[in-house]
Amino acid sequence: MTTVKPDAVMISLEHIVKTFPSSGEGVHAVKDVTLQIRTGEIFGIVGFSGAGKSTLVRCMNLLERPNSGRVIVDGVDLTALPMRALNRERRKMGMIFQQFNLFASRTVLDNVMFPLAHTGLSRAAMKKKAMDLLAFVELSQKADAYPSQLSGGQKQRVAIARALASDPKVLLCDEATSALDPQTTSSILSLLGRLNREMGITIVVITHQMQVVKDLCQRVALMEEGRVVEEGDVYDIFANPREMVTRSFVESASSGGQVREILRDPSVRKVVASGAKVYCFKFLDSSAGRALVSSISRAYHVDLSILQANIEMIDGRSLGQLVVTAEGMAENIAAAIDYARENGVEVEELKHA
Amino acid sequence: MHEFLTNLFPYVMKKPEQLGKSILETLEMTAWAGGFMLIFGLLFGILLTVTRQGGILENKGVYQVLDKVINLLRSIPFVILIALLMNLTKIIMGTRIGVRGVIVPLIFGSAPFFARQVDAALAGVDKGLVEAASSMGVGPLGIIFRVYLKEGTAAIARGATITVINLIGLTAMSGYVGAGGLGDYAITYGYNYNRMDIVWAAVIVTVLIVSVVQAVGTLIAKLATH
Repeated sequence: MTTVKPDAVMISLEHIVKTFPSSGEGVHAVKDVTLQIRTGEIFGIVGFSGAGKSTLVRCMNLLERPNSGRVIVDGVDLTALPMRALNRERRKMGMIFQQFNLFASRTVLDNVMFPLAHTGLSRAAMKKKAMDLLAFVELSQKADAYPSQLSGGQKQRVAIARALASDPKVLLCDEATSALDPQTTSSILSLLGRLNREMGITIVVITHQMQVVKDLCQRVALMEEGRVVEEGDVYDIFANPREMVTRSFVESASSGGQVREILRDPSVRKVVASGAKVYCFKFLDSSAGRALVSSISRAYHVDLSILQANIEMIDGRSLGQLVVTAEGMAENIAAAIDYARENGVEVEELKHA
Repeated sequence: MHEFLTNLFPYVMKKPEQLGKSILETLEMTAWAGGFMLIFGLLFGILLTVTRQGGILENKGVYQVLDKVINLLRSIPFVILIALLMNLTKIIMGTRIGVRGVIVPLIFGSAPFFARQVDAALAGVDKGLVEAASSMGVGPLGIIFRVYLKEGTAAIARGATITVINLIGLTAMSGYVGAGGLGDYAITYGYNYNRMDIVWAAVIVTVLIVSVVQAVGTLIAKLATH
């Protein structure tokens, strides 16, 4: 693997605008997106369908040519290139799709060899390379099968091998796991993680499944109505989502689920009606594991009862979440909350909207 | 056997060489016109597909002209087409009668239909495959040959089968310009003299030829499907 200087930029999108005359205003359009994807990272782009994320990823290899803006990949401005040169640059970027897009009339081996036609390799050399790639995705025994004989997960593995055949620096994944069941999804995700680690390939993942981002990505951008509304390290986004859309995506992938749902629980409502307050504590990696609850109870005479607790690992760091009811004197509760915040715990009071 | 056939087809057996000649003429016309029909139909069918809006070589002008010309040619009845094209036929073939004189109108009569069949076949090729090939840096020619034609082979074979069978139907009218063939045989020697055995012989041979064409087409389509 080549060493790259930290924060080197692989893909730089500058003020990308893409509209479609036929669909009129809104749907799938991209409105002034500026984004930088660093060399060697796995970057997620998340949004509901119609948010423009698939259009945005197609702008990265100019399958869709933006109306305005620049696309710079590995230092080359793709938007300025003539067709032939653009096709040469595209070979540095592999792409996989939700519907796999394997050639039904070609065997698995021929599918993987497809991008090698222009390389000038001998047929034997092409075959060896394709077989090596099939071994990497653990499908060597299916080399002579046709795509119709494969399961969805196997098809996507073949598509990954095919995308890797031209030794790309970047792999673009457009909803690559959306047509797969959860178990197959996680095996594909671990394969993507492996090729990122072992081959140093920069990966861009388009998805509407926040779980995919949580399991795979280091950084993420959230799109809504053609714009990037929030962007950052996956851990920070999970720990501290700012926008509504981010919040709903984060909650969709948290084992804690939608914390506000707790307020609907009849027993919780009863306690709240009697004057208790409900708080959500977030323990970031440094603060996780502190004996916060017992020390608050002891020092501030506040009774905390736990409604829900969970801890999860995101990008190798732990993120804990604790939902409690607090009963006690109002000033004691306020002091206890201050104490928690001083100790690096994020606290939010949950109220009925 | 000979006696049996003589009883069943008395007038055919009187001059069996007439039937043999007619069969050869029909096959000759079908082979020549069919060969050019395949070439031109593929060419224009592919052009329709790639120049259409959203195609890999989108070109509104080319598409519109091609689309209109194909519609025009397809709307002219074949007998009128023979008359309409007689001067062009003379320029290209040097004559406007006989087998040579009917091949040009046969091509004009069948290629536009096949172009539509090819266009429809290629429309059935998943757009995602074209997109995947584009993402690999494959240019327009590569996409046409390695994606469209390769993936569309079965559908094109089915379309070609239909068109060739239509073409055999068109050759039956070539008697108008003295090209002979089975149609001419049935009309000239059968219909005009009220000799039904000759008409039946023409029918049976035509059905056999069509069956062979259909079988070959089906086989190719089957071999190309995985």
